Amino acid sequence: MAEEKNKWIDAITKLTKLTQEGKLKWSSASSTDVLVSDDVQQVEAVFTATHKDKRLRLYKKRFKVEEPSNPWFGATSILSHRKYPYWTAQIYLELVDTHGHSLWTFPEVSALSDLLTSVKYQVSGVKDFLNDLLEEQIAEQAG
Amino acid sequence: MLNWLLKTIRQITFSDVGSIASLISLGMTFYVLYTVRKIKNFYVFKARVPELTEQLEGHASKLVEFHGDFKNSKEKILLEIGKAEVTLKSLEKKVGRRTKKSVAVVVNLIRDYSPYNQSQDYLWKIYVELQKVIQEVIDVQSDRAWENPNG
Repeated sequence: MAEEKNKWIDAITKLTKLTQEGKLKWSSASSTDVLVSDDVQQVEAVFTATHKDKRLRLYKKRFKVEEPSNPWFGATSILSHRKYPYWTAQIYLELVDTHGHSLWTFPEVSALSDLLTSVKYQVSGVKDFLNDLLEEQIAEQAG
Repeated sequence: MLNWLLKTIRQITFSDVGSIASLISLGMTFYVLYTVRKIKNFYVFKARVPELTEQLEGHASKLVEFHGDFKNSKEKILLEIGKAEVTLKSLEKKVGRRTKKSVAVVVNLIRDYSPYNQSQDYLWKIYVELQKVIQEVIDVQSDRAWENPNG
């Protein structure tokens, strides 16, 4: 089981590395009909990339958790000190078809959060923005 | 058989009863010690391990960030892996034998991050192994979520 999870971690961290090195290019995508946002779930920024003819989709989904009606689960909420309703989030990495339908969802592992951060960093162009800004500053000081 | 039992009981002296009671109380002392230790470990695990996992996630995220700007982050990396080592050592005392082994792998990698092998690839190796420890600890926490400390 642990070895199986480690395989996924190796794969996801590899994607993070390729993203950082610019070998895997991600682009911002619109939230399609497949990814529905409503009162109880909200899809945050969606990103897509193609790696070896496979289309990848990465996004974060927030869920609203209502107070459970089952008294047994209600009792556990006292122990967890949670106040209902609350929002929780999960990051999804999927292999999708050309219509945006999910074919396979990667298991939820902590490394996904770093992949999302690297993708956001790449797509937003923060690096170029910072470089331009700092070059401008240097040019002003020189001039 | 019954006669033998009655005969033996009749032969038991007051000091024999005292000795037996002492042995029973010794056994009970060990049982109470074991139970208290088990309860202590349970609550330490429940309270501290999620905090330490969160800290490790923070260290891992920073290492990825520094990996992206490796040339300008060499000192920050040393500082961050130092912090990660402290967190890992604290975690090591609170987890089971199997996770201890995984923690030891990362601690050894961090210790070997000397001026001779301070490369981007080696840093990545540390990050990947750190992620594996984080995931293992998260899985153990999920498994133990419904565990009874007295069970």
